[in-house]
Order: sequence, then C-alpha cells, then structure tokens
Amino acid sequence: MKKRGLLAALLAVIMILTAGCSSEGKSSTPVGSQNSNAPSIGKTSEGGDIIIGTLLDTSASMAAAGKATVWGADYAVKEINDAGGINGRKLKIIHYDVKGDPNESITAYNRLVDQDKAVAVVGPGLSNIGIALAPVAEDKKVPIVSHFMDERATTNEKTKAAWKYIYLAEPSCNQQAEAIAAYSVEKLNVKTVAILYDSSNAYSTTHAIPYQKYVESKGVKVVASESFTSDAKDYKAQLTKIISTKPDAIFVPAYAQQNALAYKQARELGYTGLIIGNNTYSAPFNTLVQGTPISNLFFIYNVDFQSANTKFLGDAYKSANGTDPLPNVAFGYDNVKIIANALKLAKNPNDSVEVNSLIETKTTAVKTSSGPITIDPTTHRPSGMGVFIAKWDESGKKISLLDYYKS
Amino acid sequence: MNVTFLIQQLINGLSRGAVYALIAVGFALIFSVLKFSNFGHGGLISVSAFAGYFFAGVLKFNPVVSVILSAVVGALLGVLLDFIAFKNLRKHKSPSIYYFVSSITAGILFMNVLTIFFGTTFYSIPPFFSQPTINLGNIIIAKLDATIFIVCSVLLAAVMLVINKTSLGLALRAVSMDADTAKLMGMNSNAVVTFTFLIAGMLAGVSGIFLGANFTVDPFIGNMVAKGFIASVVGGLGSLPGSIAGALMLGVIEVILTTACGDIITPALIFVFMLIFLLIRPQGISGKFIQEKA
Repeated sequence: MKKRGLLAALLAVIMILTAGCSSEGKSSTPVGSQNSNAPSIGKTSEGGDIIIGTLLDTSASMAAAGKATVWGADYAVKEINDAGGINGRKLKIIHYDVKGDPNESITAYNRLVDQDKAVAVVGPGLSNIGIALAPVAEDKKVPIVSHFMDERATTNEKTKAAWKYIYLAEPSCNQQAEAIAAYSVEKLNVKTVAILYDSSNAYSTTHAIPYQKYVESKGVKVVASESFTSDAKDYKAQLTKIISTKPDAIFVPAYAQQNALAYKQARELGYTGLIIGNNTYSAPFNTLVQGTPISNLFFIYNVDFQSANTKFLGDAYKSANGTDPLPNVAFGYDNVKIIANALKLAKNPNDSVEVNSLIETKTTAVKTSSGPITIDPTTHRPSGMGVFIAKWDESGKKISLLDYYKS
Repeated sequence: MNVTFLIQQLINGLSRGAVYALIAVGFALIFSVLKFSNFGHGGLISVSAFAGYFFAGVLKFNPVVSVILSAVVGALLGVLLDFIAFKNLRKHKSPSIYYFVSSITAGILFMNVLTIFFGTTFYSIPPFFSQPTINLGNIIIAKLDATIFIVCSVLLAAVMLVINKTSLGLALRAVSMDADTAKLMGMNSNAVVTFTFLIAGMLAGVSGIFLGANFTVDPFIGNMVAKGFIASVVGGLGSLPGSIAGALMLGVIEVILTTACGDIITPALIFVFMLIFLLIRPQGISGKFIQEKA
C-alpha cells in the first residue's frame, strides 16, 4: 500500500510536469506562432517558404519582454505575408525559447541554422547572450538582427571591427546611456551623481561606464559608485553609503526587479533626490514598487506608441491582448522588417551570406515602427536613432514622454 | 563616516540578519531533530511566497490573515515534502547523505514546478504598512524588517517552548536521539518526524510571505536558504537560538564587508570568514559537536 502511495505521488508529479510541458515556450521546441496573443501566420505553402527564426526569452527573467518581442515579430510576418510575402514567397517564422541562457541560445541558433534552415534570425534582447552568439554567427554565417544593446555584441573587442553576422536595431547601451546622461546634465542640472549597478551583468555595466564618462566630461562629479551582484536583493548597505554623499541623482541601470528594489530601498532610506535609469523602468516596474510613490524618476523609453509610425502596432497589440504594449513589441516588428528588406532585395533569399550582405549595406531608411532605420555598415548599429526620456505620472499608471535625445 | 552612518549600517545589517534568521530557524529545526541539512526548505519558501502573493495580492486579504494562511500552506507542504523526499529513506534506514541529496532535489523540483506554471515573472505583494519606515532622527528602520525580527523571535520562542516544555517536544527530542529506541518506548517516530516537518513547513510559510513582501516574489526566492544554512553553521548546527545569533552576525558582517570592500568580493569574504570562524569554534556559536552530520 505504501509503495502504491509513493507511486501515486510520483505519477502526480510527472502529470504536473507534463501539464506544464504542454504550454508554449518550452525550450528547444519550435513553437511557431501558437501563442494565443499573436496574430496567426499565413498558411505555409508547399516548398518555397523562406524561413527565419527567433531566439527569445519567453520563460526566463525577461519573459514578459521576450513574449512581447515574439508578438511583434509574428505581427510583422503576418503583415508581410498578407501583402504577398517576399516576392511571392511566404515568410515562415520559428520561435525558440532560450530562457535567458547563453548555452541554450547557442544550441537553439545551431538548430535553427542546421535543421530548420533559417536564413536569418531575430536575436534575444540580453546582451550576455548577444556576446556569446556573435562568434557563433560568424562561423555559421546566418545573420542575427536584435536589440541586445551591449556594443560588444556587435563589435569584436579584439579586432575593433564589427562582428560580420550580427546587427543591432536600436541604439546601443553606450548611445542610450549618453542620451540620458546628456538629459541629466542639460535638463535636470545634475551637479553630483552616484551610480549603483549590477557588476555581474554586461547590460548594466555598459550603461554605467559610458554614463559616468559622459557626465564627468561635462563637469559633473561622480561622488559614489557602488555595485551589487545579480543574486543580491538587499542594496541598503550600498544605498546608505551613496546617500551619505548627498548626490543630486542616483543612476541605477539594471533589470526591472533590481531597479524596483533599489528604488524602494532608496526611498525607504529617506532619499528624495533624482533617480535616473535605463530602459527597464516601464511596466512591470510600477507594479513592483506598489506602495512607494513614483516621483523624481527619469528613465529611457525606446518606443512612443502614440507616434504616427508606431500607433498601428500599439493599437493592434492592445486590441489583441487588452493591455498596453511593451517596447519589445516594436523591437520584434522592426527586426523582422529589417530582415525582410534584405530578403526582398536578394537574388537568392535562401542564401544567408547574400542576405547578410544586404542587411549590412542596404538597410537604409528602412520603414519600421520606430521610423526609418539605417544600419551603419561599419558598426552594424543604427545611425541617427534616438531614445525618449520618460517618467511615470503620480498614479504610477501612465508614462509621459518628456524629450527625445539622439546620440 | 559619522556615527549616524555607522548606526544606520548596523541597523541595515540587523535587518538583513533578521531575514536570514527567519530562514535559519526552520532550517535549524530540521537539523536539530533529524540531523541533516534540509535544502528542500528553499522550495517550501518559494511556494509559500507564491501562496502569500495569492492571499495578499490576488484575494486582497489583510497581512495578518495572509501570513497565517501562508503558514498553513507551508505546513501542508512540509508534510508533502517529508512524504515525497524522506519517508521512504527513513523506512530503509538510509545514510544521512541520501537525505541531503533528496532535499536538494526536492527544493529544485518545487522551484521548477513554479517556473513551469508562473514563469520567472516577478510579482509584488501589497505593502504591509502604509508608512513603511520608522524615523528616529536620521536613523531609518523599515517596519517590515522590524516585524520580521519580532516574528522570528516569537516563532523561535514558541518552537523552543514546544520542544522543551511539551510532551510532543519530549517525543521530538527522544526521536532525535534515537528513533528506534523511541519506537520501542511506544512513540510513533514517523508521526513525530512528520510533525517536525509540519512545524518547519509552517516556518517556511511565514518566511516565504515575508521574503516575498520584502523582495518581490519569484520562483527562486527560496535560494536564499543558502544564507540560512550559513547562519545555522555559524550559529551551531542543531541550535535554534544559535541559528538566530548566526543569522544576525552574518547580516551585520555582510553589510560591513559590502561597505568596506564592495559587493563583488563580499560573497567570497563571507566564506573565508565562515572557514576561519569554524576553525576557531567548529561547533559554532552555541552548537554542540554532532556526529553523522549531512
């Protein structure tokens, strides 16, 4: 009887795990566009489909952002197919969940290239993963277009040249950090600043360093620079040290949960000054700090869903999902549009080398939801693209865009 | 660095230590009775944190009710954990190391089941206090941290009372000394052990909701059990009051090292400190030498 009880318990555990496995986003399983939040893709036709893939985090710490990117990418594919496809051929997109893990991403990328025969890939948003994928893409010669913002993902640190098969379709960490640094100096009149960042995260450090360099070049004094590791949740020791130096502003460029904890703890410790941040202060930051008024907080915001270029996308997302879109919806859409532009120009869209060459040289004022995007062939990053500076309203329900800064 | 700064950092350290103490009490209880390090406790904390979010954030129960219900959930999960991971090992009189391995596996299982159903999205428990801090001049004390410290102390006192002053506690101590002899004396040692897991689960339930309220809820919040382990080791494995003292010491030392040396090197220095401390006092602050530890 006891053995049966144990067996029953084990079977129950297996059933629970199987129930979870049946949901979308499972690692290494192509999901296609089965996400109920995404628009349906046009039917695949026999032969002739052009295959692209995505490597996105749909179940890790950046799952909300990853799922939004998937939605945007699917929407772009549907839009392209509804308009006749790529020179008459349907575009097919295959999704892989990479769980925020570089090894998982490399495995999925290799599967996309070797088994699924993808000619181009929409890459994940995490910079650590972009850096890991860059040399692999060089080897496999299938281009990746993404929004991982660390410049080391697009520039080979040893040769200082651009990695040949990887592209960034939004301003880099350097560009974004310099934009908000410029805003800090010019509009917020910051004279002293402290920095609190995640030392174990490339994304965070590649905001902190250029921010510091920029403000110091403008005569602002950096009175403290403290760090935490990614598994830490209590930053009060660092914040107490920072607050004791009485900075006009604290710059905190990290992930949403870390930013929320830092913001709450800074306010709890009595700091009422400016807090300045990166582009992860949009939702769910406002729900994570519930109970703490949001004020004196300025951050980077990449996409204005009320602008003429982007409204259609934001409205479509809201209509389908009932919630306001994250900027990542636009990232997914834009990445696919850049790839599609190259596919349309290619003599042989199944030749990833040719497609890559066209992404590099012919991405000029390509119409996307973020406006026209031009990729600089020498850096593989956009040129002339800016970011918004934003803040939350007092209710913590709405984001106001204050200014637009180009690097 | 002025006096206010130093006092504030001391309070920060004690606050951090209070969080660790909440974890360490449940961890130490299992060790004191069953003589192994139960890393499944982390899984219980994670599930209980989600339960706390459900009660406080979704059903909008008040904090006291939410804490009580999370404790109940944790208690039931503790019994489930015993059933899944340890009961069969007891039946076959397995070596202590098997319990240790099974506990780690169970902890990972709980957290990953949470990930399957909830992803790794973060959830926020509504604040317990409308005014979150007590201001004593320039010194700030977070009410939630103070509450955690008080709750931890009360729970410790309650558990010590049960263990030392009740017949059930007597049975617990008897089973911890020798389960077979306790059986011969007419005690149902299995039931006593299950009751121990029920208590430890209740402590995990309380830990989970308070940790979730302090740091937001995610499936891997239970990984903080590692801090509970360090606190228990420093405090003396098997000593409940020692685990609290160890936790507070750990919190203060972490803050001191972070302030002086930065957060990057602090984790390594903590382990160096632990090694040196155990070289000097291997039984911990108030523990006794225990054989067959796992």
